[in-house]
Amino acid sequence: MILAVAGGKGGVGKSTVALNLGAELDAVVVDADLSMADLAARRGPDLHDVLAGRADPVEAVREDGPVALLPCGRTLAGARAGDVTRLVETVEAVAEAYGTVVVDCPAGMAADAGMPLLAADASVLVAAPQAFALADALRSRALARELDAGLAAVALNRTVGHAPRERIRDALGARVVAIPDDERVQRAQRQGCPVSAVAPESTPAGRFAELAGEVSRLLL
Amino acid sequence: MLNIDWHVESCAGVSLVTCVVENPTRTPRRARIANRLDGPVQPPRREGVPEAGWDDGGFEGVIAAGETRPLGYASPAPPDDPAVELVWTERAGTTECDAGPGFRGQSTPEYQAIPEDHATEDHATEDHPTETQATPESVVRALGDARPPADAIPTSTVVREASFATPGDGSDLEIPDAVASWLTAVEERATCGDDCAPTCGDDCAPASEDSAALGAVARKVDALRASDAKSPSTDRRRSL
Repeated sequence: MILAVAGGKGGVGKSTVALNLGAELDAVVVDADLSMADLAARRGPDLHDVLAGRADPVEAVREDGPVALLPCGRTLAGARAGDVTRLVETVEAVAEAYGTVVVDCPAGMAADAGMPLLAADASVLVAAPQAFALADALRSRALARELDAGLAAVALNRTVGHAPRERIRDALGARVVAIPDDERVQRAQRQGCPVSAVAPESTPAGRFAELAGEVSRLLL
Repeated sequence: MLNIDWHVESCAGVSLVTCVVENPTRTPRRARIANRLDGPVQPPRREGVPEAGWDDGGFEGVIAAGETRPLGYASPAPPDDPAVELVWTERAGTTECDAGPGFRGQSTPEYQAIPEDHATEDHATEDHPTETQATPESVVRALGDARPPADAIPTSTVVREASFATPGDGSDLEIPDAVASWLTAVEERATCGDDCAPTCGDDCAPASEDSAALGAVARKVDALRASDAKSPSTDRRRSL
């Protein structure tokens, strides 16, 4: 099963949701943000190498962290040299070997954002709770639908106080899970960990589990 | 001829009709699917405008050869049997299937959004490999290449000239790409690894072999700056 974590705007927390969802679903997380890698990794082949034909997708998967990860490279030259059309077969190869893949999509609406949606069976949209963010979320949903990666759920990320879940559900047409703003989530993310590893009883950890539960209910 | 399968359910006083129209033939066919409920059609809308092909009686459009088209709409009328009817079909001209803007190569890109409450079922579409499927190449054509432009990639000549501007000249210099890559790798090796201790934070020390290398680089930089300050010369650049 291939799940794309998307959301038009940069900075809404796609990588954080992807990592935490990947942990809950026991999936391999693929960092497909080709020009701005978010999920840290050490030496070894990365997605730039795979897309340039220098490495096999499965050999680029790192299993030594808390979540299995296919990291992206970090250089502009690597981003330029990679063939983005290879991303679909890359993600499919990882899914065939490991079962479930969560793809961390880049921001924007260009081919690098569309390609993971083309590969995916479904999508989870990450949206910020501010009113002006809804337009971006609607555009992302439209793109996901065009590419047959229907919306499984919405992660309303970094909410403070009351989260406008019903209004967003009405607009986007999928179950909305609110992830409250919590410094422990960011701290864990910097170390490449899901929040469930550092604060398993926290509200955000519970919400990520809820989000995973909704995805599993629909897709697995 | 075409096959139609439909389903109707009631939700909060509204009937939600979903149907699937299949064209198993080898030619595109135009079809009329009429609403048979005792009430008006509330079609799927995009930005407030009904999706192409819908009118107050139902839907009319071209189903490509081999295509399976999902359709859906709402009505304030109660559910009934039948809810929809395939009224007529006729062979469609091939020009009616020319692609407009979109990802699909062959059929008209009329995206029939199903009513909002059924959005969570989007994911359950079967994989029908017809000529209308999007491909990686069509995604690049439709959305545009997102790679950084070639002239944004620093070359080694550009880097060497830029890195030897005199100090204090006010220029805002980038760290050369190769050096930045190495420093990033040092930084990554300096993380606290798989031990997710909350106290770790951002203050991890570099690995021991990296400490030695960083020291050597720092001494080299100091030496270069000292000699450059004494006698700035273009010959200096070649020795490095």
